[in-house]
Amino acid sequence: VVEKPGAFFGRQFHLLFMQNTSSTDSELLLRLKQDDDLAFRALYDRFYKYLVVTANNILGDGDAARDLAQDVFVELWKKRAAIEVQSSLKSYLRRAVVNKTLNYLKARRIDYSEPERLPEKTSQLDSPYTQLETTDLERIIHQAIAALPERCRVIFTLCRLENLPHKEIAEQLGISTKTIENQMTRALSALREVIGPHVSPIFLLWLLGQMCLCAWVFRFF
Amino acid sequence: MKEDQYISLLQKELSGHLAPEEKAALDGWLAASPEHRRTAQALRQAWELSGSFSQDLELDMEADFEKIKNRIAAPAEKPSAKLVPLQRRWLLRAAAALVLLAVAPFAVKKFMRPAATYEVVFTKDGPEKEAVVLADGSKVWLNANSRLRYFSTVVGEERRVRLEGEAFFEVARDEAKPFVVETPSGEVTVLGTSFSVKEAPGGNVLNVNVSSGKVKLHPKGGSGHLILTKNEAGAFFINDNKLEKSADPSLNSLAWHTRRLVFQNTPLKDALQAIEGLYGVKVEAENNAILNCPLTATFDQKSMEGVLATLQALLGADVEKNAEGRYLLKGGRCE
Repeated sequence: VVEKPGAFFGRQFHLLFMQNTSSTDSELLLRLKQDDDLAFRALYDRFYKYLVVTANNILGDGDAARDLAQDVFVELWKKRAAIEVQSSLKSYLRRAVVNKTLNYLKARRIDYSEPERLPEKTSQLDSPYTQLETTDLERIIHQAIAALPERCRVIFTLCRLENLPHKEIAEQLGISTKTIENQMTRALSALREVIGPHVSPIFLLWLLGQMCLCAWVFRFF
Repeated sequence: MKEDQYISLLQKELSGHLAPEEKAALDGWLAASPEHRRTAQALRQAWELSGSFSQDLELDMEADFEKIKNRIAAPAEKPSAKLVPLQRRWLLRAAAALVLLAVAPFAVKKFMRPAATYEVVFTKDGPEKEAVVLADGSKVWLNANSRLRYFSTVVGEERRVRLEGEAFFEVARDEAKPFVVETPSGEVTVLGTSFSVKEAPGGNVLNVNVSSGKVKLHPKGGSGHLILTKNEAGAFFINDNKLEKSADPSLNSLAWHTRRLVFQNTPLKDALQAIEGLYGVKVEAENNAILNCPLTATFDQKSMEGVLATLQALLGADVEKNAEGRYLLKGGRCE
């Protein structure tokens, strides 16, 4: 549907947008369905970055992530009348951008079974440390994910962050579940290597806590 | 099994894909040595900490919104499916190859982008004999000077195509996803049926002819609509903003697609017009008196020559083809 740009985008967004900040997602969606361009802008301000970050976390390609998030918003406007949100608008949009990402990956016909060279350990991690805080470890793990080879990272993030079942990732990307398992194993091994045998005491405490909780829960059975 | 295989099992456990029989193997390995348990612990920790992974990036919110606005206002089209005469295709291919070679190094990144989700076909001289088959299995036959934009994959809640000119549609049935033909002045919505849509570029009327099933004609910007069923025709008169339904569509309005002409006491001059339209020729009568002769005949899948031979016999006229490729009916009279 080609809109009349004048009628659609002619107004001053920021003035009215200020009044929108308290609207809930479902109110904005309702107004969007009534062709309200200000609601569209408000939704953009609320979710655009979230969608770019979601796609970029998977792809590690900011330009592609921007394009895919923009696709979602173009479609959100075009299909506004027909949109049915089951749970929350946020998860609806997240799923939409993940689907776009999957289509994008599929269109690129990447060979996921071809071996990729794993990155060298970053210098920061070579120093022998034993007293790592969980937050440091977290930062190190995140750096290691960002440094994973592309195919490894894509599969790992789809599984870990988007909680997509291996079977679904395999179908969407047109590869086997065996390939997924191999890449997941590679990714996890690489991440383990950066922490090495140094397990943070805080994490051990956390684990201990979990075990205590389990033991306590099991008392009731 | 090597360590890697146990890491694979651990990975499956963490992502919830471990089968019960694999669980036993994993437990056995863990129980075998404290070294194994340390490895497993590090893997579990890596898994836990990876869950909060997120990379921040800088965004230009205004510039990106501008891009979205532009795409909504005027979606970029990919006019690659333009139909060109056969003998010119190799030239075009060579030219395209040259251009591709020249821009390839710069365009690699661009080409990595997802393919456009829709394609455009347009016809020039005559109607297309081959149907355009859409992603959902629906078929579209385009008449001359028409242009169709269609999606190469079915996305979203409806199947939407955009038409300028005239086309005949055979829509695959899918009640969950209405099929929408959008023209400059209106929309025709169906679930699964066959019908034609015609709106000449810059024209004043949008015509819909239904062969089977049921369709809805909805003018843009208007509130009313028409429901049309089998053998009904509807028209939207753009300048007068008027919707009209006619129970009996003109017998030959679909002839360009069906290649079937039916005349029932049709004045010869109207019949000749229909013949000219279908075969893309000019037929004139030397004797103006015969132009009002009533003609009753059915031409199904006939060649131009076959049609003329019948006319010749019915009217007792001679047919001559002159130098400019026009046909001339000489003599003859009404039966």
